[in-house]
Amino acid sequence: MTTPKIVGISRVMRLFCLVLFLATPFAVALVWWKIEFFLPQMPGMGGLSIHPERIGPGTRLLGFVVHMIPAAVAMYGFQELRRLFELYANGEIFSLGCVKHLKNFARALLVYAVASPAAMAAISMVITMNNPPGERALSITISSNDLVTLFVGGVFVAIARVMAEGHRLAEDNAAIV
Amino acid sequence: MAIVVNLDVMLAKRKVKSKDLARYVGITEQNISLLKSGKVKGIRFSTLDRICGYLDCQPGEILEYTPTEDDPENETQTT
Repeated sequence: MTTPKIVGISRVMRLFCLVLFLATPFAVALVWWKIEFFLPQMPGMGGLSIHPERIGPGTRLLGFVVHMIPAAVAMYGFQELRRLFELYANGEIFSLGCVKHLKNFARALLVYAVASPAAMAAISMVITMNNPPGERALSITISSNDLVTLFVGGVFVAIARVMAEGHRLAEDNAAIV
Repeated sequence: MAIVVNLDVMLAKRKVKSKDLARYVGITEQNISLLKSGKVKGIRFSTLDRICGYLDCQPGEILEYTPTEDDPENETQTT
């Protein structure tokens, strides 16, 4: 029987993941609507020659589309995490479904760790593509955030394997009366 | 497996229904059914204790070891 605490926490986390999933595209749209404000804070953009007057609607739309690539990976991760917490809230802890969603979330983290710096590099080109010659740039930055995301993704892959073993043990235990 | 479960025989001897035994032991009727057919991977001592207490029998009257020709122990003995 699943403890009420696990059910309670899982319901809260499920809702939180849903909010993150729904909010992500709006957050990215907001960033590109007010790109002049957010740009200096984005990894690798601080040293670029930025001309806000040259970042028109078309550039902003292109930037939004490029930025949505890692954001879509993050949304997939939030969705898998939401499904995982849904199973926990229904009392399933060591089922194959839980293992699957945890593995998928881990994979999303690993892909995001690679996609995010690649997208930022592409965004640096988008932002400066309308600049005068000599001021267009390609900025490639790998931050500690990306390395931490990669590490955490690896940790969750390992945890998913442990959960798979837990599922096997739970099945064996269920077959003992 | 060489372990044979004779629970159905003991239930018939004592004229006890599976559901009554299940209720007393604290496991589901489905698990009693799986136990009778030998489709479980193991039985806890506490469960065996409750079963023997209710049916007034010994574990050996419920569980029986019947080695088959494929049993590894038989292969060892023949060599």
